[in-house]
Amino acid sequence: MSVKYAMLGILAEKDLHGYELKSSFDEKVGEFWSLNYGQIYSTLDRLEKEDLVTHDRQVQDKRPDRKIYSITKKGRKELDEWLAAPINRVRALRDEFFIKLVFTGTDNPGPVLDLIEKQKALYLRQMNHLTHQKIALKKKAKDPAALTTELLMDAGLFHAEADIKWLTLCEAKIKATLVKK
Amino acid sequence: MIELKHASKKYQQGGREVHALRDVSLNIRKGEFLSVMGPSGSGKSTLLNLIGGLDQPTSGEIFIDGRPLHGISDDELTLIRRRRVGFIFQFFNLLPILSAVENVSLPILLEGTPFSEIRPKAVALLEQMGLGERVEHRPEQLSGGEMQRVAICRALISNPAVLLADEPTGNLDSHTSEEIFLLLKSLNEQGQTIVMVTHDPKAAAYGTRIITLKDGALSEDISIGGK
Amino acid sequence: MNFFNLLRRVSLKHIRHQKARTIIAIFGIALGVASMTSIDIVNSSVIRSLEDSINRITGRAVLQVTGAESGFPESLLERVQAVPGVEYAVPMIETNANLAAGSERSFVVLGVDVLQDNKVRDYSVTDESADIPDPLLFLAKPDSILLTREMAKREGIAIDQKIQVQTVQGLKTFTVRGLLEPDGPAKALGGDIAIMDIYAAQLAFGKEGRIDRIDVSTLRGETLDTMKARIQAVLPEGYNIDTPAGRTRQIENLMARFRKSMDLISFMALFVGMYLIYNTVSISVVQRREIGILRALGTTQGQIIRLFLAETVVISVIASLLGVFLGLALAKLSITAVAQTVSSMYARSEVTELEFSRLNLLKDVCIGVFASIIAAAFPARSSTRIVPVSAIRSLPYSADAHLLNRTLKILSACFMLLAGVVIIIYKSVGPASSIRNSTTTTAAMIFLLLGISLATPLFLRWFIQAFRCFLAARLGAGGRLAGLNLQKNLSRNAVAVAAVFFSISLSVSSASMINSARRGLRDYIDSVERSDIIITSGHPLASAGAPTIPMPLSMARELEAVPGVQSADPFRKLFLNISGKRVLLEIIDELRWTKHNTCTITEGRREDLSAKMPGQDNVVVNEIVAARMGLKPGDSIVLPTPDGPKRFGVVAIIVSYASDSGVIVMDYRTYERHWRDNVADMFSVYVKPGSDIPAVRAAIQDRFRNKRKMFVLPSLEFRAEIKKLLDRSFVMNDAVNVLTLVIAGFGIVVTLLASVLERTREIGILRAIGMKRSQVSAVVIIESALLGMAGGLLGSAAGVLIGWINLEGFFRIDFGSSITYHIHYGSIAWALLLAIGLAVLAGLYPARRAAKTNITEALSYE
Repeated sequence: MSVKYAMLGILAEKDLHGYELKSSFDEKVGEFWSLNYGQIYSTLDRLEKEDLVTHDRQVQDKRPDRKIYSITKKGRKELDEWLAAPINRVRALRDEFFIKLVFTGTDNPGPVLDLIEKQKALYLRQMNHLTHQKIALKKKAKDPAALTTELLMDAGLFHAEADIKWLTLCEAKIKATLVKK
Repeated sequence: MIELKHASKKYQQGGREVHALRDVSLNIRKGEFLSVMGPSGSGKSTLLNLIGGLDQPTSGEIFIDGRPLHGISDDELTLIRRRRVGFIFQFFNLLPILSAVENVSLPILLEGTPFSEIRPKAVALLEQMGLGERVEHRPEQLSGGEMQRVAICRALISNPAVLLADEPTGNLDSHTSEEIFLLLKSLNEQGQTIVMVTHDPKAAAYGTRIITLKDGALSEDISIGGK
Repeated sequence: MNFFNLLRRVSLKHIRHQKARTIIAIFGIALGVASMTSIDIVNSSVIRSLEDSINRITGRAVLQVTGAESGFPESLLERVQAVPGVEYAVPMIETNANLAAGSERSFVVLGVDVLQDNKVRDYSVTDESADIPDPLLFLAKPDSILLTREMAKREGIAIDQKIQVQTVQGLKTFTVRGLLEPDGPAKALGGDIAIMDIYAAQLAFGKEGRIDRIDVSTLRGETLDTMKARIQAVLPEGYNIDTPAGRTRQIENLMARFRKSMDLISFMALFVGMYLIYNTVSISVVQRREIGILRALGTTQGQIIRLFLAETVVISVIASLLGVFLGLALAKLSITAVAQTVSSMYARSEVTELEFSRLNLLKDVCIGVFASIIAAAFPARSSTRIVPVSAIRSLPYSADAHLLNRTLKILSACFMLLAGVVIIIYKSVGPASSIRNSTTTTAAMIFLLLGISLATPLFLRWFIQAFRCFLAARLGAGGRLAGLNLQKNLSRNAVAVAAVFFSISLSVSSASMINSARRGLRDYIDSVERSDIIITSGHPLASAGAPTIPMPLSMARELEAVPGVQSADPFRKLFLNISGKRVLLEIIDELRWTKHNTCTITEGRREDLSAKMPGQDNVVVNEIVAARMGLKPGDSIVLPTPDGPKRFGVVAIIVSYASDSGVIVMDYRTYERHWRDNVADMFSVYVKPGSDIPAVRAAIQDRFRNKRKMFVLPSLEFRAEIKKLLDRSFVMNDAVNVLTLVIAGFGIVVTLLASVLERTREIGILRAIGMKRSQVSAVVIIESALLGMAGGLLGSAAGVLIGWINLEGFFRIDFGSSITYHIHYGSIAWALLLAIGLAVLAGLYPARRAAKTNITEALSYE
């Protein structure tokens, strides 16, 4: 759903063709969301059908024509409405790890605990990586978009932290039931 | 630079023996920013206390720059704390009766150096930390972040070999915490060795190396560094 | 929460947790109550025993006629007997005597009319005396004497045994004719009593033709008042007719001064106890976070105050009960010593039983509790200033401000002003003005003490500021920290300073006062007594009323016959009753005396002394008498003589410390003429130039060896002894000083300990960042020394003032205006040294404790 608005958001700043759109998308939110070209174009098609964007053809030498996409009035209105509205639904808990947990029996907690440990280390490593990236970003960039990126990175860190905390709790609770038995 | 060889620490608590640290061997290199993680009771504070010379191991050896911290007198240990180690605490632990600049000067004042000689250096440090306006303020007149920055100045005044931080942002909000961590990080980038104890993964992530303690023993050692 | 629940759950737990402090507070109050109780008990026991002795000796007589101490003519007896309504009037001689052998114990000889006396008194003679002593036998054999069985047993004397007794005529031998059962007069004075025939006694004790007392019993139906009036009518002025109870009252009045000084001591002790309670409660108020928590949980201010007061009541009831028991023990221990002092100073007494009532003990407990509550009320009230938020905030700065607030400053200034007013009044009125009494003196002292106590936080702040300016830098980090630490908790530290101040001011004031009195008295002794050898019959140092047996005047010639003796000057002293006051009459040979001695004359001309006194009806009086009666040279004074009142001219006003109730000096010739008395209590012997004093002394001793027992002392030794005695009489003050200093030490220990415990975390921090144990100790010790020094300085200043007030108020009346105030600088130096030393000593334990602080525990706390 949000991909749609992300693209509207990008086009609201500037008219772009598909390739540029992908680069801009990657630059802005690529850290969390990776899209391939197919997804980009299918989304653009859908947006055009809904009259949210239009395109102009740009003729090029030696190359096929390029479509330059721009946001429509309707599209801009929808984007503004979306930006102003808070999100009603809490983030879906659709973590892969959670599915693993469901299918691993708790009768023999050894493997689960090992898994949790590994997962935590992984998260920590990620956080470590992300933190250093953030520091690097803070050091070089003074452009206004950097703040958005930083905030997104922060969000990533907080989420990872929450995951680690949750895993730690899982660990403690599984161990506690073990002791009871 | 800091070396622990089979360091163990036991102590009595309510008539029962607690094994706070079990046979920990660890080598902390110069310029490292080591984060020590672990749940409460895992022995991470004990580790920090041993490295900082606040406590001595029951068995095993600890060296800072090749000098032993074990088996030396209280006065020698005190001098190591004063000259080789800088502490930062969760509750800042500034002396409420002293002004910021006096708090910062304290470790050198303890050497018997007149205040007038230390003051310029202390003021310079405070200014460097953006506390130029707060030099004569008492701790009660400072915000949490400011207090912690004063504490960092105090830890740095004696050019210590290692900066030890015990949950340095446990009492601060996220934004202020980040400022403190960035400060520590930049100190680290200037070559300052830092050992920080925390149970907060966000904080630990600032380290160039993260170790995790579990029941008094080393369980993870992640060393990737972000450079 | 129910109030008593609160008390039980919160306060009593505190008492248990702060054992040391609570114990010290209990100790302080207990000590105050104990001294109050013991003084009360001792006093009433002594008076009761005196009363008992008087009653026993008086027997059935309801009225007693007494005159001057030298006795009065026998002829008065007939006059009294002739008064209508008188049943019996019997004469009595009452005098002291010494056994020449054995314990040389002194006892009281009652000379009675053996034919008449059993009508007034009961005597029962022991069965062992086979032939009940016949009164006629007594008359026939003047060497007869009756002893009590108790005394005979003690001295190993049997019936018909001969005993040697020291009398005016020298050693005399008496025969014990019988022993008295412990009944009637024989039970008085612990049995130290002997009965003789009055005529034999007159002869033996130089009282020929005179009697000391007439005991009167009256016919039924006559009231005491009418009888008193009738008897009074037939007697010359200066005689006393009183009931035995009246005589007890007289002695009580005499003892009032003694009692007053004892009361002052117990008041001081109680005051110090109050200080400790104040200290304890203020520390708990400052320290206790749970007041904040309780307030946050909804406890009202009133409940908090009541909580503290209830706590104080619990502590003080325990302390006061303890104090009462301690007081009883103390009374038991000291009663003998006190009885001896009273005997030597006022009247012979022999106390065997403690006299106390439960009601009085209850009263003492109540005073202890009441004083504690007052002491606790101040800090308890300030507890209400603790706001609920302080439960959450840990920095106790706000609680401190109140001791420096305006009201207290004004109050302090008012108290000091009041004290100043008293000082100014003292300065502007004469030495004998009635304004100078113990009440105004005590008031001025209390005003000054209170005023300065309230000002201690302010003073401490200045003091520390000065310290930080001038000294702190030299003492390094420790000095700076110590100064800051003290400043941080001014109010509590001020309490410690006040405790030191209090005790130092006491010791400095008494040192200065005693120094002044001592110097005055020493100068006096040196000026009045310049002879080479002193001869007395009793112990030369025994003062008024003590057992001395006078010597006949004729001994002077005998003494002068000893080779090497230039002159032997007689000296006689006795007490006169002048309008209810006991005034000392000193009799000297003016012509001889002035040759050797000088006296300080405040008014009048020196030549007049030798020109107008010898043989003429003129006297000199000391300042006290002059001030009391408004006398000037040229005025006249009426003195009671055995022949009735006589008018004497006043030649001069002199300085004399011989008695605290006034001194009149008379020439021997005048005295002999009016009193018809020819004995002396002392001879001052002057040795011929070139003669060896020890040799002359030996010659005198030799000459009188078997004739009489007497003390022959070189004057130097005598003066040294008197000075030693003088010093000894101030021992009580020294004891109180030591006590208050010890208590002040406790105060410092408590304060420092509390501050060390409170600063556990800070000490942990300091240790963590590299403070050595020795440095930590040094900080505490420096703090302690600073507290001691501040208290010492303040105490010295206050002490000098209080000493002056005391001298002007209390002592002036006793000694006259000629005592100049000498500040005892030595004692100030000592006091300062002691205050600092004591403070450092008191700081040692807290310092050790501070140095031992476990760093990691200290830091993990919260």
